[in-house]
Amino acid sequence: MELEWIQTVRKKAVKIPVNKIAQEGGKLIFKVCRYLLLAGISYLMIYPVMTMLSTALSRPIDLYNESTVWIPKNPTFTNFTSALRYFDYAHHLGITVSISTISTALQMLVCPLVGYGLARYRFKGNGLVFAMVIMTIIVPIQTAQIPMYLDYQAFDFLGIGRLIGLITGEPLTVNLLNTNWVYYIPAAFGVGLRSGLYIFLFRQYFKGMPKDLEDAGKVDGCSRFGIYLRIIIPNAKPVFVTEFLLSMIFYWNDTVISNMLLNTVNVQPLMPYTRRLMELQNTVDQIEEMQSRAEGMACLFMTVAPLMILFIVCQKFFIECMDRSGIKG
Amino acid sequence: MARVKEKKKKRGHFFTKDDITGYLFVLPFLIGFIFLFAKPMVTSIIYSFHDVSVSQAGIEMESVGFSNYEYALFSDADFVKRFTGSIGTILWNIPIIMFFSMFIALLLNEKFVGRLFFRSAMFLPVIFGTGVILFLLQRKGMVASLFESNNSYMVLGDGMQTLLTELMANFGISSSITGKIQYYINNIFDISWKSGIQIILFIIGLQSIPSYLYEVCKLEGATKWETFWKITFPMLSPTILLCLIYTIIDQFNSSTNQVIELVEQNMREQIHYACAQTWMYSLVVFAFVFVVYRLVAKRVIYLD
Repeated sequence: MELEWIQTVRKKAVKIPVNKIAQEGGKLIFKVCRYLLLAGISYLMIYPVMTMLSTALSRPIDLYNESTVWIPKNPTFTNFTSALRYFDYAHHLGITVSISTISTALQMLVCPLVGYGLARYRFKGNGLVFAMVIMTIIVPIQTAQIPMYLDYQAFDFLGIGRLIGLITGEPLTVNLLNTNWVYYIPAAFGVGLRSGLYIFLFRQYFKGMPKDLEDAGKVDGCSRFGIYLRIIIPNAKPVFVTEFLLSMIFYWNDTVISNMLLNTVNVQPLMPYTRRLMELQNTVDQIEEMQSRAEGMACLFMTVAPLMILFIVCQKFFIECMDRSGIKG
Repeated sequence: MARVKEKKKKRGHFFTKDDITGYLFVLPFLIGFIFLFAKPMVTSIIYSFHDVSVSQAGIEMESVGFSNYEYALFSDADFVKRFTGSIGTILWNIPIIMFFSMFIALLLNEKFVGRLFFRSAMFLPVIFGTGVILFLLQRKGMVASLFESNNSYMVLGDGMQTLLTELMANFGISSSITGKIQYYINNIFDISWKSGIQIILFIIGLQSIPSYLYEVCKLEGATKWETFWKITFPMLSPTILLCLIYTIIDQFNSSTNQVIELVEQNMREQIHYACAQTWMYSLVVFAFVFVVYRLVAKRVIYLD
């Protein structure tokens, strides 16, 4: 009797630690694998940025030196100063900042509105409107290059100018080519750069929100628009922050629209301007080639630096937001 | 739905109050769609049935019927080849990107030291991959070595590759599948750079799952695996739909897509021909998106 009892205790005593060790070991292996995987992928993501930065900070002569990996031997800012002699940074930065901020603000105003309408109201033709939203991101915008050019050359205020023309005999049109309005107007009407994606994003998010919240608003006597303003928007902060960042980045990086509708160098935003500059730099001489490469990287770095600063500033808020977004039911 | 229908019957109006509010919410988009999107797009469809020449004097058009379309389909071997080629690659890429981004998002959703850093790193492709920056870096020979698809610098060396092929052949796996596997291992850079936005969308989706659902799971004693399939996956389904549709469109529409490249070339000289090409292409993409949406949307679960 006693022997059996001891034996079972022994079995248990041996069993539990082995299981535990296996469990802990499994967890440890999982953790190590996770870090390895994430570190590997992060390396892929960071690699181009690091190359850009290190080239921009190297002396052109050091670029030949194979022994220099990433950290330049003699870090220098001469590439930046010499690039700034012909690179009109401040002027084009101003254009880019106004285009991205205003267009983004307009998109943040309109896209959630449309997304909410699609998510919560099953009006007739809801599916059709949604298909239209998807269509705006499917058809490449380059398709309508010439018609859009002509439309903005004689912009008729969405047909109102032509109506006035019927009365006065002279259609009221404005030439909007080479102005920032070619960005603002589509953004204000939900057909801006990737607006369809943001409408879709908001629609999906609003559809996933518990209806109880809105019902509570209804009971309290909120109007339909009031519900949207007071209940929906405050509960959708993470999507708004995401939309803000994505929208800023896409407008900042855009070259398609500017190539189509802004053809004077002087009015172009930073990105197409830098692109043009870098494509012009084609020399045969090797020293000059290295020089221009380093300067080009300096220009490119200056072009994206504000975006990175914006991301770093937003990041805390962005990630906090992502953590808090779960709506407690 | 049922309640709305009842109301409609009682009042006998064609539009209910809900209908009208809905229209008011989407009104800005409708205006924009008609005047700023549909109008130029319809013009470009009209171009595709004409012979268009742009000069200082203006635009001259001569009707040619379907000949632009016919030429693209039956005479232009390059277009057809690029068309089928890009569809083939994209069909392979979509599941890989979806799986990869969801996997990374799930990893980044757990709490561990250094999560902030990794999340930031995953955001970099969105900043650098969306515009021409990557293209410029490539052109300047800065990251060229990473992009050549036949370059096997990272994971598989040449010897490794033949070894893998032989090994797989021993197990009776055909060489074409092995080739595909190698292709993806070598293209992990490309794939991970294409998944930036999807990873972010998935993280938001994961975060918006109410935590009480997980607490219930814990109380009931469900394993992690069960929790994933019973809670995370269904609750993530709206995001999956969003990411899937976005991935399809992004893949078909990116400026590195072979067809888009061809169209951009043609746009300079033969506008009418480029228009015909893009419209055929867009139609196929739209049909594809429509089918995928119909198939997936039925299975999506929204928290009501």
